[in-house]
Amino acid sequence: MKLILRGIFWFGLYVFLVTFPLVVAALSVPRSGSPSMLVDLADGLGYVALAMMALEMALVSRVDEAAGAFGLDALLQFHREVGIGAWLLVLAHAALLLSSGGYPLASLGLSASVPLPVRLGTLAAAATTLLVLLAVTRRRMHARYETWQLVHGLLAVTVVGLAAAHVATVGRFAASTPMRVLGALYLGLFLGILLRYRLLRPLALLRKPWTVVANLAELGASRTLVLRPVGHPGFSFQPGQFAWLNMGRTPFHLEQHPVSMSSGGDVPPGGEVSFTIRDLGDWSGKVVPALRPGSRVWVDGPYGVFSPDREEGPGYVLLGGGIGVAPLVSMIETLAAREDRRPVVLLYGAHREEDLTLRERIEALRPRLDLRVAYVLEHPPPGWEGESGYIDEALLRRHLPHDHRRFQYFVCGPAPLMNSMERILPSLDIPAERIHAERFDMV
Amino acid sequence: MGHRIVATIVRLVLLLFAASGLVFALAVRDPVPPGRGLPSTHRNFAEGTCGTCHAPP
Repeated sequence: MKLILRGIFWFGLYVFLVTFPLVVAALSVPRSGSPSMLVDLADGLGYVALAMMALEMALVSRVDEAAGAFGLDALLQFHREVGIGAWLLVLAHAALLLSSGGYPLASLGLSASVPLPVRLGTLAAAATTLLVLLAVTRRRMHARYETWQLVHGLLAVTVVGLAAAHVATVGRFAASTPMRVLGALYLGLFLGILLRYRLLRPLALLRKPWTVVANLAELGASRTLVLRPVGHPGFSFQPGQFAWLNMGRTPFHLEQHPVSMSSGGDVPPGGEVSFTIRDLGDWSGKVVPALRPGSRVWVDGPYGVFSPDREEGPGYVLLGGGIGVAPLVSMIETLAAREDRRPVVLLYGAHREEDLTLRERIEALRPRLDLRVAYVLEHPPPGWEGESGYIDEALLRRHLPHDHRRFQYFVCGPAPLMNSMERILPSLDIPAERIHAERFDMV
Repeated sequence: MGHRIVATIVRLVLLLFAASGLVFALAVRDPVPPGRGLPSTHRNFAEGTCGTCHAPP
């Protein structure tokens, strides 16, 4: 199926699953018995919010078909922003019920005198608020990612459980048989995704271990892990894709990180795959450097749609910043191995010269294809003859080929680079469909 | 897919979902006009709350 059709299908399915309970509720309850329109509106928004929350996990549970249509970074952004939207709908649900006059603020609480559905609803709303607050303040709180991920997952299951119990006990629309059946189906879907994500997928990975062949120090406080599959053929991949690395004793270990492959694609069965990782914290700064040849690693992949294999063009412009250069190097290496003669322009931004991770590999690849490279340093050393500053419009105009509108553009780097490229590239008359971006700090 | 495109899609989706809640409220609207008493399903007054929707009668 074409990528755009797949995208439309999955997006349509999502909208359908969120709104379908409203249709069933409206059809299964007689058009009488409404206490007030505010209560009906509150109910409607509550159903939508619950369906959205139940589907939140599906968005990030690595359903290959859906992730392939949009890209995991886009799905994660959608997950984050829609999660906040669901929380706002929960707040609107509560505010409408309170303003309807039927549920005075004084009647709320968790004491035994408060009706059970109200207690469950209050708890669900409080848990949702905590879930969202912890998610939006994670970076500011400098919370350990792995701890936060565990709390986030447990809170998400709690929210869905409490909200489902709230709906089941509140009666009215939820009391009808069609709604009860639908509720059971949605709960089954939620539990099924949870089971697949946390049990079946790790079980499958358990039979496919990888071993560390080499752990190499690179420029820019980075390391390249060379991994080889043990007792299975491993995988080939499209250059630019990534995989989830798990260095726990088993694949059930919660700590896992998405990392781009930095070696070439088209891997033969049993072939080695490399990942280049910058020291950005606990895991990349402590766990990764401690790996020795022979260490066991679990690799879940490949994932991602950020690849020239999916986008034909007369040439490629690769725009990278920091460790975002890793998937771009994979692209260059693959094009060189395929003896591709199309022109490639790489603009690579970094703070200092010593931060140019994988520079040696880029230089080694230069003679093997039509590759033009410009290193752009924020703080150039004395005597630096290359570009300095940032990758901006003027710099792009200096380096882009004359027929640049027909090229395919791949951008990977920190948020400021991504945001500026999303603004500048369209202003250079480059069609949106030829601009492909992936945020390496997606989680 | 670009960051701004996703953000725009999210806003549109949220607007759609909020609107669907409103359409739902209109679709299930009680036809009994104000002043004609409580709807027949708004019951269980003796318990102090409506047994159907848990609102105080």
